[in-house]
Amino acid sequence: MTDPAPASQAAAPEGWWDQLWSSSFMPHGCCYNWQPGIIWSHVISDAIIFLAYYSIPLILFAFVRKRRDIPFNAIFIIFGVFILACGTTHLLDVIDVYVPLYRLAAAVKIVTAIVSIAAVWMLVPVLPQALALPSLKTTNARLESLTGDLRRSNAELEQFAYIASHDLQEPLRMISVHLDLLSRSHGARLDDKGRSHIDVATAGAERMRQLISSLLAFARIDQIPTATEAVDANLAVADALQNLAEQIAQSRAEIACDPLPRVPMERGQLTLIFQNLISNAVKFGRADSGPPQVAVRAAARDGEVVFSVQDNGIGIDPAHFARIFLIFQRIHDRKTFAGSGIGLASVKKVVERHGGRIWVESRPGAGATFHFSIPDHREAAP
Amino acid sequence: MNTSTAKRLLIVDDNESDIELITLALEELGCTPAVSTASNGADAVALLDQMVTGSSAALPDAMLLDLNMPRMGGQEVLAYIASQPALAAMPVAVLTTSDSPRDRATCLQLGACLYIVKAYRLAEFVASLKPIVELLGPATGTPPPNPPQGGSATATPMQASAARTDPPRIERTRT
Repeated sequence: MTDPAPASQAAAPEGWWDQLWSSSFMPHGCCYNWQPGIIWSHVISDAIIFLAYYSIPLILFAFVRKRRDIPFNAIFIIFGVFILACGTTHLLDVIDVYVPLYRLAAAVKIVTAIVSIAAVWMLVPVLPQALALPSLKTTNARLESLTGDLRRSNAELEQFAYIASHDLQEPLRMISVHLDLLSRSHGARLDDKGRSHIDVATAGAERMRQLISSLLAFARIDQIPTATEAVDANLAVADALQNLAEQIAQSRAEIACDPLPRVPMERGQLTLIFQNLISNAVKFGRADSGPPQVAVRAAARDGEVVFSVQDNGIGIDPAHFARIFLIFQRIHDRKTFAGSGIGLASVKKVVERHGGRIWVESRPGAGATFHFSIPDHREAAP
Repeated sequence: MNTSTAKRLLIVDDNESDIELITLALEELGCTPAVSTASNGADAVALLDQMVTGSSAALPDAMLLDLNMPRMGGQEVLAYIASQPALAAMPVAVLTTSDSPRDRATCLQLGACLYIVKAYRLAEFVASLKPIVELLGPATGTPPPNPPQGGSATATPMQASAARTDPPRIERTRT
């Protein structure tokens, strides 16, 4: 930003331009009778004001450039221009003491006046908005209260997990065990219908037990510390395959696993992810296309590793993409595909807990590929 | 049945039907100990104190302890037992509904020799008590009738310390 005065007058005719720089007046120093005391006090203080006025806009511009989040950018800029213009008037005050460039000084003052009116014009409507901005204190207080809420809700979740692990399971266990006792001691006296009622009740209790235990596992994910050391993802997949050995053998699924990198995660948590994804890939196979084919792959990108588990199963309608990651959401009826509706929710929770994302690509009938990313800011390891 | 030759088992559980179930399950496993019961931790501690001072029967050969009980929970009972040298020899098995890993770790740390989660199915429940039968040992021994305090104390420590330091015993219950 240069001195706006000459520029704004540049369009004026030649004569004006010359007049602007003419000094056919007495220098201001004459009015001070060239007394050093008064001259120096004016000159020095005007010079200091000029320097200060010129440095403030520089600071303002630097601030606006760096803090893009601060609103009212235009206000900051017009303020900068206003202060620059004011500074220029003080510079001319210094010059006028010796060289009477009064016309130039007048032009600069006119420009300053216009800019200051513009600043006021812009400032007035912004005032209520600026007042409405939350102060740092209120923002901090709100943050603190939110953190408190979060801490409380975590503590409650932990409490819930404990209650679920005992208080909810205890009566259920009694129902289940005593149904067995009833069946054993009085089963012979019941007819088929009576025995079938006991079986249904027992199956219901068993299902409830599985739900509670999955819910508990889901709640406990937050209690497991996130690992600082890296684990070989191949080991996690091996663990998962071992845990799924029976399901894989029954479905005659073929699992192909590329060599996988190391990622900063706890082994059990990575196993949980692969186990759920591979189990789903095998479970949701298509009856008409032979044994399920599952491929596990990984690709290291900048700062993260993206794993994928691909199957050739029944696929997922994109309309359900968001729903499948929610807890207790099921897309199929229980008879077609068994499950608690917690697996993918747990996977998502673990992935997000490690700062990663999970998403799916699929079309009905065309298989599904689940991708999840784990940030890895260490040296890129193969 | 001659109670003087039978093994003695103290069951601490606030759920009466569970005490019945435990007795029934042990019976099914061919184990018929003399059972005494307490329905909460405070009663159990009082009973153990009486046993130590000799104002009641001798200490049991083993104790089955529930965790979640009114007045005094199982973990507090474990802590109390650990603090009493006279009780240190008695093997304590925790039998609880809680499958919380934290509870398991705390109990084993407090000196429980077994941590068994109460099973949902009768057959599993019975099977899960097999380590208790092993802990009690064969009932058909010929222990001296009404052994003096010292006698019982020399008979049990071996068993107890073996049970307390033998990890496979604990592993066996993690099914």
